[in-house]
Amino acid sequence: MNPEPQDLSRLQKLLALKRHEQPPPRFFNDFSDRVISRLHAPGAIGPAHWWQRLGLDLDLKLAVIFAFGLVVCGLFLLGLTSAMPGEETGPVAQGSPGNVPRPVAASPRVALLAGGVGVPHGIPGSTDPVISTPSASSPFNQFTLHAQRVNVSFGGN
Amino acid sequence: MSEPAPRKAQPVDLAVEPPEKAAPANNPLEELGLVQRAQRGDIAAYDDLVRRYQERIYATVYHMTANHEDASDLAQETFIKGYQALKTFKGDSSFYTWVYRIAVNKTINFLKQRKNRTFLNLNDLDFNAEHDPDLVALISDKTPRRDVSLSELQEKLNAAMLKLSPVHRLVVTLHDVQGLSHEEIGKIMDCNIGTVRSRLFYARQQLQAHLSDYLK
Repeated sequence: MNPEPQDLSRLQKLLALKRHEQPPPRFFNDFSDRVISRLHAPGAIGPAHWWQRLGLDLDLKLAVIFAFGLVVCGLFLLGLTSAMPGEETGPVAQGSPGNVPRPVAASPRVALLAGGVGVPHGIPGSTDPVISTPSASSPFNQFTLHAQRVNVSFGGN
Repeated sequence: MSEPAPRKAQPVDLAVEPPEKAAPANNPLEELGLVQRAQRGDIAAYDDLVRRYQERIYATVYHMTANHEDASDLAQETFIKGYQALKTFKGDSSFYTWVYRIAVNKTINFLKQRKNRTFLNLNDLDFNAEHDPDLVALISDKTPRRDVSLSELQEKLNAAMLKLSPVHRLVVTLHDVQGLSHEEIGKIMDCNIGTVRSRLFYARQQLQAHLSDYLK
């Protein structure tokens, strides 16, 4: 539908009727007095919120949504950090050369590597593998993949 | 139909000039002085500002809500919030535009909460309405649907207005009823002039569809 000039002119004349709608007589005589008396009423002018002091007049609904999003993100990050392998400080091996404390390796294989030729004891190197066992409480433990050797024989011979 | 309709609807402004210029004729410097005094806590200065704009703010809210009581409450709350937030007024726009924005946001939020629960509480038409030649012409033609009184027409018009979405109703109110320019409306609604024009075009289409019996 496309407005035609004649209809539009009639519509505007009709809308002009709204300009004749007037509030009760003397309504505006004491309007500002009512506003001012409400301003003087105790509690009418409360302390401004911190965002209002900063000039940010936020809608309450937006603020609630923002806070909810913040909480969800926080919980997600918390879950992520608890699932990640933490730096466990195990018992320190005593009596090593130079009496330098050194973390005990987590598995025998790593212990072998660490004590092997060419890797001096007590000197942490960038080639030392750092292997730590995941914490037992991690929710991701159940998803750990294990490689298992199997023997497969094809029938016949 | 006097002219053939264009093939494709375009959001062009077919409007005749706004009925009357409703922009404030106040001295901006004087107004700025009042605002600065009010910002320092001078209630009398704020009272002066309220008196300057109370009728326009009330009228805008009233035409949006079609309810005198709601309009009265919302207009008062607008000025109260205006005073509370006055310290944040930096003078980037006129006080008039700034307080209008508060009124518009308050009213739109109110309408969203109220949704479709509309209670008409219309103001009476003033004495001049019966003597307005345009209005008399609208109800005196010898067509079947024109045998309505002005008050019936008023009710139909308000019912049609309430069928518009709040933003479309606002554009019609500010432009066709209150006579603000597209630019002023854009500042108040925080949108560009093109958006104002297209909203006005769509709102008029809707109104013409709702009021077709009274426009032929």
